[in-house]
Amino acid sequence: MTLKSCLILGFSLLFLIVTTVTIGNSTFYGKNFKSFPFKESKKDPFYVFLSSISGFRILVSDFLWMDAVQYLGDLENGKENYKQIYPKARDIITLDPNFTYPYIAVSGILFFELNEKDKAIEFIKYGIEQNPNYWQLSLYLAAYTYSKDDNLRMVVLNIKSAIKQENHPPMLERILGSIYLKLAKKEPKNKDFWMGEAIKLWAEMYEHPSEPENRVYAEEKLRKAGILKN
Amino acid sequence: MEKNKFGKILAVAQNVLNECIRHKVLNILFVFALALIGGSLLIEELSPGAQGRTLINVGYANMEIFGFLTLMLSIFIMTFEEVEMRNLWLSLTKPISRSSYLLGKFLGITFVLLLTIAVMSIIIMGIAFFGRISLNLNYILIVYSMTLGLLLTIAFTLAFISIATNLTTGLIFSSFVFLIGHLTEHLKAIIENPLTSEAVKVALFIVYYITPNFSIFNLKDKAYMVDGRFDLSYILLITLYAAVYTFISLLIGTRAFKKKEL
Repeated sequence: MTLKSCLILGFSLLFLIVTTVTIGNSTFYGKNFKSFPFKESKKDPFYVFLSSISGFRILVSDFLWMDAVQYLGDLENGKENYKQIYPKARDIITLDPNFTYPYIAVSGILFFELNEKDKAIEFIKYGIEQNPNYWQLSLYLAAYTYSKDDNLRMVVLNIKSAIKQENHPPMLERILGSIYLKLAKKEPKNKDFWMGEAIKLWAEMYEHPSEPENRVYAEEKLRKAGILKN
Repeated sequence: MEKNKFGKILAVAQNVLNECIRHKVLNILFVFALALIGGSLLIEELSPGAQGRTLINVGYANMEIFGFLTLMLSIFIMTFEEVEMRNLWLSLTKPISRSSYLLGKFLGITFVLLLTIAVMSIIIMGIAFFGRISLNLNYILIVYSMTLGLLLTIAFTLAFISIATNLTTGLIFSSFVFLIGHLTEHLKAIIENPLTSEAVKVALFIVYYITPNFSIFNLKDKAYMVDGRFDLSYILLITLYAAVYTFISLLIGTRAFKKKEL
């Protein structure tokens, strides 16, 4: 047996060992993510592991999203109340926690269509944790918390977090002002505090408007509150 | 460096490029374009809300797969003609050293790869333009890192072919290394796992440090984790990493090719 043949044999054996051990240890990938997505993940962690090592993790998450859309499109699945959509969505975000669209779409379906409000809120909260700079998620959480238990304080918290992002729609600032007014009416004890918050917001909108319409709006509100005089 | 050595390397490289074009290796690009354009029509329908993202991700994946196929096909065709049709004997009767010949071959296949990658990138950009998908600097950096990985693949495939007794063995080995190279990031976690036995740890340790780590070139799986663009120091680091590994592979390749019985 020549040295070259020994090397070839050795390399093949090494490859065999590496493959066996890697497959045997595939759950380690799952363990890294077990905190949220793996609790109810439908797919085996090995599936997730394989897509990760092949270098096409993000692409596989895109394909799983297509699969989820097809699942939703099939009326037959409506008979079981689309119960697989949540595990499917978890598989997608396990592979790519930064894929933001499934958070919005699936949480919306869970909240409004399937009446699984807590699940929807938990799901969107995880999305915010993973994508703190994506303001749409905070906005959706605000909508869910308001719709669920009329929790305006949570709405304020989430809209405030959304308007911290540079690319937020300017309209959100006007909505926040209206919510402050609503809170001032709803909580007479804290009226001064909420009015103070509203005035601070309008003053900021007046000084540094993100669009001209916001300045006009803020000016009108500040005059009405007696802060701005002719 | 002997006089005119670079000229000789370039002449071999040009010959390799011409041969690959003559053998219609670049026809692979038509398959790529068809797969991507056809795929884009399907994706439009199947992936609501994520069409742009999916389309670009499919583009990256196709680019890597077709790039790998192109280089494997080019190496196979060139080496097959050299060995089976005895073209190599004819070339080596000319005043050209074996190391210059191998370096020329590396450069020629690199040209083929760069040409393929450039055309594929333009196709993706065209699809993105018509699909109104915005591409930023990350797109160029992802393609660049992918190209680095593929260049490294050319170098060690040529080294394997020079060492191996025959062409098929060399190509199979380099494919193995390409696969293991994508595993290396995960191998470290297995080595650190207390449940892994000592013997396996040693074996994995050797593999971890010998095989090139291809996962560092895989920026496409990290594209959505970065805000803005990739860190340029990281790009420089992977460039250096690819340069060192390519140099070592070519060095081993030329040494082996010099001693190889033809």
